[in-house]
Amino acid sequence: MIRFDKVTKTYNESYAIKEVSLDIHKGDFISLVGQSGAGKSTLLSLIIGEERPDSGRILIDDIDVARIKPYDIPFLRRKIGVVFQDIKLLDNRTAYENVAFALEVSGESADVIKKEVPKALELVGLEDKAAAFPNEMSGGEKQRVAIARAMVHKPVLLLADEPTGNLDSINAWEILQLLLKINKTGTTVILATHAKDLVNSIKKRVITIEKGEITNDQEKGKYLL
Amino acid sequence: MKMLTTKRVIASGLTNFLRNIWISIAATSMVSITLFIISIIIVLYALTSVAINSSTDKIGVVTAYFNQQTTEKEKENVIVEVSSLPGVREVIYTTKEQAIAQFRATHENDPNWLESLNEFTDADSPLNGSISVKADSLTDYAQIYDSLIEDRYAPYFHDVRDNQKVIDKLYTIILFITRFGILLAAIFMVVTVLVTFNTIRLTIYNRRSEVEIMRLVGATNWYIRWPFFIEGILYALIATILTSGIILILLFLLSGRIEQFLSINAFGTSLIKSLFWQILLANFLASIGLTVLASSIAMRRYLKV
Repeated sequence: MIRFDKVTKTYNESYAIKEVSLDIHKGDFISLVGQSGAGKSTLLSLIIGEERPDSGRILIDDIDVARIKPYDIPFLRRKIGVVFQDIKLLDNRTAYENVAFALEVSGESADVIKKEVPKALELVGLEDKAAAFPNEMSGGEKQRVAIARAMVHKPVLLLADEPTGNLDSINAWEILQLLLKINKTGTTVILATHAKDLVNSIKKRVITIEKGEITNDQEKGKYLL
Repeated sequence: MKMLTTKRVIASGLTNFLRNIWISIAATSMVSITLFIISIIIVLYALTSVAINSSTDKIGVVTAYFNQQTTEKEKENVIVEVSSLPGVREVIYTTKEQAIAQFRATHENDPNWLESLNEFTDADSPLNGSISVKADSLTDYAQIYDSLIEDRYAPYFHDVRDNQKVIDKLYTIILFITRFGILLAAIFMVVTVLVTFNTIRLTIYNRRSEVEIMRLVGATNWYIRWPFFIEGILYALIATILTSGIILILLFLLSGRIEQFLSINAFGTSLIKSLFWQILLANFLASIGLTVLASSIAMRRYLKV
């Protein structure tokens, strides 16, 4: 589903990603681990077309993201959900409106929004918090709203960049369970994280990245650093 | 763009405008001031043109006086010929009788002058009729004068006069107004673009998190950009309506006084009407051009899509 083929990306002549080759299959759950600055975020940015590689190919379902036209990027992003450590909710909108926003700006009709937003909130278990504003919710709840927003397009791929970074262990655990549940429905999930315990507990594929290079790639892997 | 998207984008642009209402008012005012200056220049230009036309009508800019022995037939031929000279708009023929009547009318209360008229017999009277030539534009008069003093006309005219000094003066005035006006308008246009640019930049800054999320969830570039254009277009439209309205009211209120001041009569409703449409169109085009330019620069520099 996703193939990295000798992908290199440099910033100011230092390597962020160096000749990375990688295959990710449909339905995979991948933990992407490594120290800060190892290249995890760069890898995710490359997948959503936010950054362009200096060389190599990145294929997502036969689309070469490295050579995608700017015009096509928005349509690529509707197929990929993204979740961040800093959540990025709009403070002046309710949970419902934050999720609806993703559909609104993609030109979906009011009918579609009415149908899909409650489903997404239900998926993350927040149907009773639809009318709550971000400042009325806990960190874990906010992150779940963000996941609902990422899932409302029914993406084939969900990227989570340190989604549990700002959460306590119980909330972090809940978020992880939610990601696993989403993965079970067929969505490919890539989780970039520092959380050793979480990664070790789930026994899924772990890709370790150090100084821009993949040093380990194991099915049912462990956090090795 | 789909109807639904269009609606959302316009709503979003309105929100941009309303959310920072004071800054929006400042930007709109700046656009209005510039439009006001442009409008005033258009009015001044129209007024000077009217004034110049009316005074050239009065003084008959290039005047050629017929010889005594020039026959009516020859005069007719000359008039036809002069009419076809380049730059000539109109040739006004004053007959001998008219000239004498005019002379009497002018010096009605001046017995000496009237008596002097009687000293001439019909045959040697200096009042043999004349033609006044009006040109298409002020710059054509020199050339017309040169044509009339050519040898081929020498048998028919005993004198050709132009009021070059008056023309030069009028020409200087109109040139000054045009140049000064364009300079002033240019300065204000630059300031307007800067102010609008800054305002849009501020909106972009205020909405940066929204824009970031829009990009991540797959909004198209134009969906992100349009609201900022619409914000600028709103400034333009409001300023255009405001300025054109004020100018229209001023024209109605002041037209009487202006007429008196310039001692002209041509400043009727039809002139106000045509002036108003000119001003409305000029304001609309100028304001849309300026704000769209400002929005584009601001987006190019500050809106990553």
